[in-house]
Amino acid sequence: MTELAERKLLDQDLAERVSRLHVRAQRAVDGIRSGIHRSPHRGASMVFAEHRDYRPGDDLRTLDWRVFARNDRYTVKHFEQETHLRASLLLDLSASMAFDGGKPETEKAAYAATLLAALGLILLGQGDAVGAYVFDVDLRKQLPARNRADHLSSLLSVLALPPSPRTAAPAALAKILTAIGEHVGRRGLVVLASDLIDDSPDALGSLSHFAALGHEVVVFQVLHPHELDFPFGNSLRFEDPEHADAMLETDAERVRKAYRAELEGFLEHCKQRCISAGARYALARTDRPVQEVLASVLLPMGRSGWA
Amino acid sequence: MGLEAPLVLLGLLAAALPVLIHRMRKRELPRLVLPTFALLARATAKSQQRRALSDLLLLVLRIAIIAFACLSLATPYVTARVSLGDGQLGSVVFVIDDSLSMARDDGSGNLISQARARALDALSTLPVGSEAAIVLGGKPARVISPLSRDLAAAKRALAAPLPALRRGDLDRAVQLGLQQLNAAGWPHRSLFVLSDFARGGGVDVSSLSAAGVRFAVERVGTPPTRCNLFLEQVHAAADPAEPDKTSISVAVGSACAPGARAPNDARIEVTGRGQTLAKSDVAMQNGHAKVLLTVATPDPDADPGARIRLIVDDALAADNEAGVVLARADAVRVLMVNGDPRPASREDELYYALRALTLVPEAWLALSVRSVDPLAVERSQLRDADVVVLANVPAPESAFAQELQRFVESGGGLIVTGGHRVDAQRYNAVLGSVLATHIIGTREGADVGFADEVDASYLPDGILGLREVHTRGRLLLERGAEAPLSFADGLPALVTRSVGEGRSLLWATTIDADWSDLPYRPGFLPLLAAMLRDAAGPAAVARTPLVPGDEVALPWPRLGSELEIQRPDGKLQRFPVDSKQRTLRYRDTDALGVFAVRAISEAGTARRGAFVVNPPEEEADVSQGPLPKPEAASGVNAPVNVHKPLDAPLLWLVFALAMAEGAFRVRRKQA
Repeated sequence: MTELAERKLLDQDLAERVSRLHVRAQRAVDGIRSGIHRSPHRGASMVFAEHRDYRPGDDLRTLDWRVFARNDRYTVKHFEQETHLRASLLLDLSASMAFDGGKPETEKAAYAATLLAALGLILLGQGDAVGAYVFDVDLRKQLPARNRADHLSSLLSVLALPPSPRTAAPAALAKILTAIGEHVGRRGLVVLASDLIDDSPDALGSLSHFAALGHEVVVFQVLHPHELDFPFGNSLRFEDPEHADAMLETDAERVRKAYRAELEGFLEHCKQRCISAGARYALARTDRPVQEVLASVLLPMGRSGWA
Repeated sequence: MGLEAPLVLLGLLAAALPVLIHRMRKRELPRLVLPTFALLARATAKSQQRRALSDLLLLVLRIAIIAFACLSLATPYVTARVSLGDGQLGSVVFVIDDSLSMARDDGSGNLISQARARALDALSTLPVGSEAAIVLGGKPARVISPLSRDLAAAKRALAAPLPALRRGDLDRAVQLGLQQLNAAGWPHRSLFVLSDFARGGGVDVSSLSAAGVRFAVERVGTPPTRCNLFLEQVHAAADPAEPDKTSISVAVGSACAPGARAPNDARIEVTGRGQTLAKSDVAMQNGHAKVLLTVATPDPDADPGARIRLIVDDALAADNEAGVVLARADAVRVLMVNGDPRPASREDELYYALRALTLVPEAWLALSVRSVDPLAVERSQLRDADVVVLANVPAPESAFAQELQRFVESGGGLIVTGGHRVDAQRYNAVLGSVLATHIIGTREGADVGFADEVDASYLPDGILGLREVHTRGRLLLERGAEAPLSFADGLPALVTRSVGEGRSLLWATTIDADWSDLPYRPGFLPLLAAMLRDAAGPAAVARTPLVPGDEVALPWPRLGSELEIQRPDGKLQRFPVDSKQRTLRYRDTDALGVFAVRAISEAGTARRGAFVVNPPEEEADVSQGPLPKPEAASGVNAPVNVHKPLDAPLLWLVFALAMAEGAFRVRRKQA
């Protein structure tokens, strides 16, 4: 199962392409091991943080003797501590993510899983700890954050879970995200891959909880080209994957313009909600290569931070 | 109501087809699961409601189309009661009395409207394919819609306004109706007379009989309960004592139903030029009254018309109004210069002419004739003349000749007649510019008659009455542009010409018995009157009141471009000059009051005339006379039940619904 899932989500070509990418937290993150990310604690890295007057109890190793020689004042020199990142990958596998528009290779759930798997590969490669939370109506599977080399296969097996079948119960994104927020723990990186389709008018409100906890949040809104372009013609009977009894008969060609207007409004709303919650937002079309989407968000190796 | 083919109604089951198709199409739609369903639902929320409504409407329309189509194929009918014939195809002539008495209002609208409504009602009961004609019974009787299967044309003719103002001429109308029925295409022929059969009008029972024609008569309206006062006579004349005043004498008569009394609160009012000119109470005595009013005579250039109104609440309001012309002269003023005066002798030049002119009917031409000797002619006398006749007069002195020229050029008429006193050379010399043509000389001795060809517009009866005339002497006239009458040898007998705004005529022979026996012939009077009318121009308009429907002969303007008639109702009519006709036969006299005539010359100057159309006195008695009972009429009025098919209107309805469905479908698609 693990082998199969790994092959399905990450092929050799993709692994090579994303290996050139690099994740670096912009916010300070808590870590118990040293790493490449900025820590809220002062440490022994090469990155200068601040000068301040000496106070009794300070480590004498931190005294800046040059300043004392010049000014005859005891001044402490602090360096930033670099630590490893604790990343939580959140994958939406609700029924709406099962949409593939007739092409299994463009399935939203698979695309989102691949996206997170690639990100996990990068982070593990940097020595960061990566955990995963897979949910639909409820939390389906949880993988604690680890940075062991063999952790990737565990991660892939969790991400390779199939999306929920069509159900009468709609996704409750806000509730799930709040629940996950209690598990995520100390400050780190939270990456959500979802279509953000939810009945609740403020499904993304809980993203601000992550930011409040000090997490750096990245949201990938994964949508199928058919959802974005609405290329249908003639009269069709549309059904809602998350509401079994919802049905609408209409002439697709005639409503295309109005639909696109609604969609644009929805996308803009999601984007604004993410930004206001302190999260980074990226729209991911499932016909777009994963590495391109990641590259638009991450920086190539050698540069720090997000793109 | 019933159905000719009720089994066809089984086709109504097909009305379920649209519903079935609707249901089938609903099931056949391809299904698609769309995660962004909520967005789609919001996008279609508004249009979806409209679409559902339009779907429902389309469904109803389609069901209605099938249902009505089936219903029309089942040939539904209604049972109607018809008054004419038995509902079979036939030819029907409607004779509608539009005489003045039909303008009476009996409380249910005026009688002519009731008659029209009744005729329309009867017309609508005729089966499609029947023939109908409409004949009006006002004088002169006339066909306003000839016999035709186009029943809509007959209905349109009835829908047009019908002013009931004329005398009655029902007998002639019945004759016209029978003439129409002679060309009928159906053996079933009927003639339906609608009238009030007032005592003043009515129809001769004997005229209501013809082989193969069924007659029906129907009285319109209820009997009058009040008296009818009417303007018996209206006459205006210049006051001899005060030339600036005109006296108007008005005689009021009354016609009362048995037991009714003539009202005592009548008043007379004279209006003109936008103001009230005079008014007076009317004191009725023994059903009659006379009123004399005096008003200022209008200037020659002002509108000469005035309106006399009898203000009273009586049975017939339409005859309480008349027109009158307030002119300084109420007739064509003819100044006849006698070139061979022999008082009290048949050899007097004007002996025959003066006597003949007294016989000219006023309705035709009102004349005021004066005769003078050549030596007594004064220049000032020309101002009081419309026409000057030089009857065998020696050529005038040059001063008077110039006066004559100015007279003609300013619109006067000049008639020169031949005789042994007429010196051709002298005439040509002093009056050459105003004469109708040049006088070549004189020829006496040869006996010659008139040519058969005569200008019909000049003498409508042609040469009849002049055929036996023998002429022994005549002036030899140069051929002019207008020669209405010629001698048998081709030489002109009468030459006419327009000079300035006036008219000049040259008559080759004498108007006494000296050179011809013309005065003894019956054509003498019409010829003389025609010459005077031609010479007088607009002044020759008849002064005796006409009645609506009468024809009036209006002379064309001299050298003019058009004749303009201002009707009493304010309508202005213009008639371009017809060079082939000397007079305009004006028949549009269905209005009461003064018709002002203006002859407008090319130079823009205008000469005025006027004639009056007043209500016919004989229509004043509106009490009901006996209802004629034609023998063949029995049973015609008895209503019978007939089937009126409804399939045609239903098919039209199906067509309209189909069009609406198509239009709705296209609009729905575009929306």
